Amino acid sequence: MDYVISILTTIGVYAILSLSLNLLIGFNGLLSLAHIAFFGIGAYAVAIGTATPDLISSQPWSNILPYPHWQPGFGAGLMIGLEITTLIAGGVGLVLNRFGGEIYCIATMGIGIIATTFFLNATSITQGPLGIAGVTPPDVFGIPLNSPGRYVIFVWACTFIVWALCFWVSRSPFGRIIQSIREDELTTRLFGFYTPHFKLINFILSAWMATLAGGLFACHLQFVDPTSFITSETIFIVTMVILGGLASHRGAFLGAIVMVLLPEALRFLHAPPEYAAQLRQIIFGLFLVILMIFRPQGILGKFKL
Amino acid sequence: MQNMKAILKTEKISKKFDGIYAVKDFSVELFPGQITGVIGPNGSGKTTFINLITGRYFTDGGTIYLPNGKKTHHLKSHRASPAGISRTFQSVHLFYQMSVLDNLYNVLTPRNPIVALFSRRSRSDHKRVAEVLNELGLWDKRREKVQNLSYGQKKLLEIGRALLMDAKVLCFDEPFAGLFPAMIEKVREIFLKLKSQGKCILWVEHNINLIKELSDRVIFMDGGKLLADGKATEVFALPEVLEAYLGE
Repeated sequence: MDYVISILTTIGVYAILSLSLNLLIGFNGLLSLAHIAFFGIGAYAVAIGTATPDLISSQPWSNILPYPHWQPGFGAGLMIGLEITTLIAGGVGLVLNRFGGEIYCIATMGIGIIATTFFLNATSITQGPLGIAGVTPPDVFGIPLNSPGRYVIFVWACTFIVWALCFWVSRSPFGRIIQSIREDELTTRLFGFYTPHFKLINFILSAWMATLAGGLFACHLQFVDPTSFITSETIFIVTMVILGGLASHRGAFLGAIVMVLLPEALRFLHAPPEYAAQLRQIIFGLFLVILMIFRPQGILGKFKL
Repeated sequence: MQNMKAILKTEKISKKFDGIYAVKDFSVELFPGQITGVIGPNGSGKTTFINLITGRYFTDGGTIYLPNGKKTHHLKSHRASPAGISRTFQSVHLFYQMSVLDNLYNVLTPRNPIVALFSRRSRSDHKRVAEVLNELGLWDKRREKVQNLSYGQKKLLEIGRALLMDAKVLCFDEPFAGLFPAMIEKVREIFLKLKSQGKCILWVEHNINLIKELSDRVIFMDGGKLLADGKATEVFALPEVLEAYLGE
């Protein structure tokens, strides 16, 4: 039973990640490869907040945090993660949102690589390749979420909130403008919309959701290390979005379900462990190629790349 | 028109592409309630001129006096619309994977992204969009994706989008191209209605009969320069215009 709950929790976390990236790729037409950075920031912020809070207190910059008397825990860690995400997404977005297409894609991939390098080498904060163990789930209204059953409910409650938020954003007039930017940015500008600002707000909203997913991910595994945030994971989450369907919230869920269950299916097929990881990557790659040829909008998608 | 104040004015605006002038030292005044036709051979700079006054291209020189009273040397693309200029394109530029309704509601969206995030479609927005769709005969197609419309319907929708902007100056780039007679009649009615509302219309067209019929004033361009400016009968009597359109 714990195995099934664990899978459900993982699907919930990746559904948040997929929903948030869909706001960028599916609705805005921005192929961002920086999402893994914000996912990692959330995971490390919560891990440090709950498992190694002294790391923050001992930093010289801890005095400039908005909470001088902060209490260690999930909430404080997540808040710090969201603030770091806002700063980075704001800075990156201000520069990159003037571009689109290949330049945007390559530059955001650079952000992802920088983040991975930071997680790996900033040992005084992230403990480098050793990772951070002992991450604990939060208490909600005084109820500790220390059992898998309780935690999966919390994760899916967060997933539902993120889905509602994505639904609201995509149906709002703002959502229509980000879709028109995807369709024809110059024409959108000619009708009086300063498109970099719209892209920036969307980028920050999406990055916040990825940070939340990262925090939930850390509590679920109770451990974070840089291998969860490497470039191939970027391909994993992009595949999730494209497979499920661009500009479709249901598609984002479907993508998360398929991409999480697929490696588990390989486990039942008794694939040799030394090949299982590579097999997973090959299958994800094949998925992308087949989709681009036969159904570029994804299974439930509404928009063609 | 000499006593009337120009709603939009250009003063010696120029634009070069790879060192060759597409528009050179072009000065013109446009007036409210006037339909101004722009004619000229292919490559004469007609569309470039519209692109300059709607902010699609920066000028390489000269000044544009906007309908909101401001003047600029470099009109940014997102500044033309708030200044009161709206346009259509020679080749249709719509949001193809969105519905007809969404294409129209888009232009009514607040320009501030935060305000847009928290705003919702108002009753007056619904009313205005419905009016435009009924006027264009596209009400039944309102939920269709634009990519499923015929070319003529797309052209009409683009005109509808320009109308919704409630701009003082409307630029139409070959609005009648590819339309069948009933649609031409609709656009003609729209032109006359806009004129009666005091809007300034600038349009590029190759159909001489339509230009003569609808334009109060005709501008003839060649080589990026203004060669003639006057009533249609006067302009079409000029030898260089006849040569350009009928050959030597």
